[in-house]
Amino acid sequence: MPRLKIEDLDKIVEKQKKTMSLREGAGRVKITVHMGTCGISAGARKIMAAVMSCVEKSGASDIVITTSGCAGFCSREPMMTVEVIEQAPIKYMELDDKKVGRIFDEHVMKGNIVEEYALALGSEQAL
Amino acid sequence: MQAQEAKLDEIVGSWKRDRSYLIEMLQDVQEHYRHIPQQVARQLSVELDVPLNRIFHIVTFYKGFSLQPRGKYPVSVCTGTACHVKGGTRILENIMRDLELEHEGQATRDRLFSVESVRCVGCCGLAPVVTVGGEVYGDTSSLKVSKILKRRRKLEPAR
Amino acid sequence: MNVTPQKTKESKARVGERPGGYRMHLMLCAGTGCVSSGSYKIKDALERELKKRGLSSEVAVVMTGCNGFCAQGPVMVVQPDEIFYQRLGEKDIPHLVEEHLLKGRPVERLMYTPPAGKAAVPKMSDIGFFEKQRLLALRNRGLIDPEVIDEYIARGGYKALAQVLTEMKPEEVVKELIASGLRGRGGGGFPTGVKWKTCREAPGEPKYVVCNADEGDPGAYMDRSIIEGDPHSVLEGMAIAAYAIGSSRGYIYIRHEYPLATERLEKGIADAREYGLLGKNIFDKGFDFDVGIHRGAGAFVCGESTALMASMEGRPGEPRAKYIHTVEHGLWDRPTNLNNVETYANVPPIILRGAEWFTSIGTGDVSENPWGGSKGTKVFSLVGKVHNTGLVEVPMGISLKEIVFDIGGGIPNGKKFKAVQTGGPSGGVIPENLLDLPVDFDQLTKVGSMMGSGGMIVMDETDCMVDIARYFIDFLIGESCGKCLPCREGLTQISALLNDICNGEAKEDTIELLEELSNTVKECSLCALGGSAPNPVLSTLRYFRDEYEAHVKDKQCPAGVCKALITYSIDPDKCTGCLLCLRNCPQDAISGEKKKPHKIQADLCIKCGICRDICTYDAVVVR
Ligand SMILES: Cc1cc2nc3c(=O)[nH]c(=O)nc-3n(C[C@H](O)[C@H](O)[C@H](O)COP(=O)(O)O)c2cc1C
Ligand code: SF4
Ligand code: SF4
Ligand code: FES
Ligand code: FES
Ligand code: FES
Repeated sequence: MPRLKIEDLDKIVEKQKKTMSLREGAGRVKITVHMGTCGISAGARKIMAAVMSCVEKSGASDIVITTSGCAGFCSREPMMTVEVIEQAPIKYMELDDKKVGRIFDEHVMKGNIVEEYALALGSEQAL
Repeated sequence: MQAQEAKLDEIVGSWKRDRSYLIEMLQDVQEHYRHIPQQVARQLSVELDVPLNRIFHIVTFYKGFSLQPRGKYPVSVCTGTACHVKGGTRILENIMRDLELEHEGQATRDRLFSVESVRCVGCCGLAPVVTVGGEVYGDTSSLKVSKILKRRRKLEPAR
Repeated sequence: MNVTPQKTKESKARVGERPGGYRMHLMLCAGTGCVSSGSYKIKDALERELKKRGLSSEVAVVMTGCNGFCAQGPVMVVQPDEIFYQRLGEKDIPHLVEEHLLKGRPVERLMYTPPAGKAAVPKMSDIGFFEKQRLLALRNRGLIDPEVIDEYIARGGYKALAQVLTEMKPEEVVKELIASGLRGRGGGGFPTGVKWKTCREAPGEPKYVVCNADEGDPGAYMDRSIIEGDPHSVLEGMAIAAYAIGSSRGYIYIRHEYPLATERLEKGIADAREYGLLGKNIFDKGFDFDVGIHRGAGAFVCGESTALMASMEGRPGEPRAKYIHTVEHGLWDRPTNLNNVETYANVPPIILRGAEWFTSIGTGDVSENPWGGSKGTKVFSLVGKVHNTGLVEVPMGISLKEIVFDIGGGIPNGKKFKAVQTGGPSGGVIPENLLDLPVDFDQLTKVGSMMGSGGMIVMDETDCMVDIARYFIDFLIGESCGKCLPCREGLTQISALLNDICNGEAKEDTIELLEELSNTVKECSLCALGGSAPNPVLSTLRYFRDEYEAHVKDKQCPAGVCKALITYSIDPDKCTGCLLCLRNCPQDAISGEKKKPHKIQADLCIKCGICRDICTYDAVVVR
């Protein structure tokens, strides 16, 4: 480890930002991958891997990824929900790697909902 | 005897022969021999050029030192306030009776255990607390400790 | 003097080091309490299970410092969901990993359930115990791995040090501290800024900065928890103090009963040195500062400033006369600033957020007079007969009732609240009718107790106040250094009187004598140990005189504690004749047959209490 200069403090803060925002629950976007039994058999774990690699590639540090249980639409799995802070959550269905990539670029990064994959607007609070 | 001298040399050396670390050196001696042997105290006095009575003053002043060998597994029963109100003092009495010990610091005949009270090991949330050979047991009782000691004794090779 | 030789450990893999990071952090508590309830076994089980399920690259296990809820240990917080799990066992782990970590369904049965309620509370911040707390000194609690300096920095660490070195003159730092109204958290409540100012202005070189981590109050562990959970907060506070008073040398005096805390400090110091945050020319601003560790050897009196310094010089820890002030004549007769662990930990946030922010928390007004109020928060070790035992940090001015009932969840086993003891052996008890008392330095002193270092022991109707007074006096007899007569002899006599009372051998005038003697010891002792030693007697007398009288006049111990005044018997209506007590009585004092009520033979019974501990039917009664 080198001696630190004052600027280096901020660099360390930046480097650790993702770690900390995860623990402080302070993300800008929350992505939930639905991992019910049928979700997993429909490939939810691959979706998770795809989401994680998108986040990694983007270098973003303000995205929180979680899982949740059965979403009640077994036929439409795999699914995920994207919730941009202070906006209604959007549920996407029948996903694959490519769709995840597009949703990530459009919705997560730019804030444009990808309506063709979306299930319903705003009705998910109950989950 | 030579081994003893070498060991002391090592300890004194690790504190750079600095007299202000006398207490720390004695702690290392205590850790190694489980007490402060008279011989070692004498040697230390010569090595560091401090009066022997000063060393004994320190050894008897601080609770962390003993002139008698402690057991292989020192048993510390916490009698801090949190443990006292939850029966720690009673546990101490019961364990001493159980092991047939007359005073604190004394070791059992097989040298396996010695019992003493400590004032708070810093796990007051788990009161009453007992430590055996450095391992912390929370939420204990006289019987639980007896069982722990019995189990410990069984694990020891017979001698 | 030399720097303590360091045993540096190999640094471990960092959580942040996986490119892209993890999606989940399992913040598993590795404080002493949770370690003793098995958190390292849980860690192994988690890692095994994560690997088995192919989650190792998605979920990380992070070992944190104490979360304060030690009685529920091992505890773990799953982030980002903030789900709080408690009392984890190895066998719970496969289920937990599959359900929550994989499928996202938190496991209710491993969550906390409040004493009165039925429903489990998933989120940490919704649990009553955590809800009312306000974390300043413990600001990083459970959020960082205390052995990773980068995580401390990530939460704003060492920024305050950078700020004072670049933007503030030492005098300005002192001024800020005085304005903040911060008062010492080690017991006396002396305004920290005022102490720094005196030390800064004292003649003599070099000056020393010392941290008091002796934590002598038996039944309290705030300082241990701070050091174990966030060692850098103390180091940074010390560095700022050193800059303010013009010192380049610091020491931490830590009790030898705290091996884990010592290890964390050693690691912290080594890491800070490597980063150049300790050592020469810090941040290239021409400021030098380094820290060494001294281990105590087990003596309560060594928490007292002059004794502590004697001990650091390698001598027995005997105090000197009060008129010699350590700020001027301290370690090696040089000006020395001594503060408590928690005091130092409060310094960086005061610098970063300003005195004004700090004074917005707490009671009173410190703008004219630094003694005019109690600002900020205080960490208490809430233990004894209370449902949720643990460490709590609360704003000054909160009521005792809120602490004991809202945070602590009240008294367990349907028992009645009797008193809270604060201030350790120098403090006193506070009875039920004062439960609305706002907790701060001055209010506690007014009712005959004191803030002390933060021990708060809750007692119920089965705790005898005479026994508690005797307990503290006996503790202090063992710890009195013996140098001065009032303390050495006076306490022995007080103890003899208390013993008479507990044994039912007291005479009519014993209580008066006790009072008189207590006042004498209080006035004539050399150091504050003796000076405050009679407080537990005087305060129990003040509020529970009738209980003393019951011992003296009626030869009864209403709480059922004093052995000479009680008898053990078995309630035939409750006893099921299970044979358990009979088998375990060390005296064979219990007789009976299976399924028939048992009996205790009073002349054989030594009142060891084992039968009462063990009876599952609550059939053993003490009168
Ligand atoms: C007998 C006795 C024991 C003490 N024990 C401690 C202790 O364990 N920890 C502590 O910080 N202060 C203890 N003090 C108070 C210290 O002497 C000193 O006032 C304090 O460390 C100063 O730091 P502060 O101003 O930050 O509180 C004790 C005082 C006395 C008289
Ligand atoms: S343990 Fe309790 S119930 Fe059983 S015999 Fe003893 S007193 Fe009776
Ligand atoms: S108190 Fe102890 S000695 Fe007395 S009856 Fe119960 S177990 Fe036996
Ligand atoms: S498990 Fe996926 S919808 Fe039911
Ligand atoms: S009082 Fe026993 S651990 Fe603190
Ligand atoms: S040690 Fe884990 S909560 Fe205190």
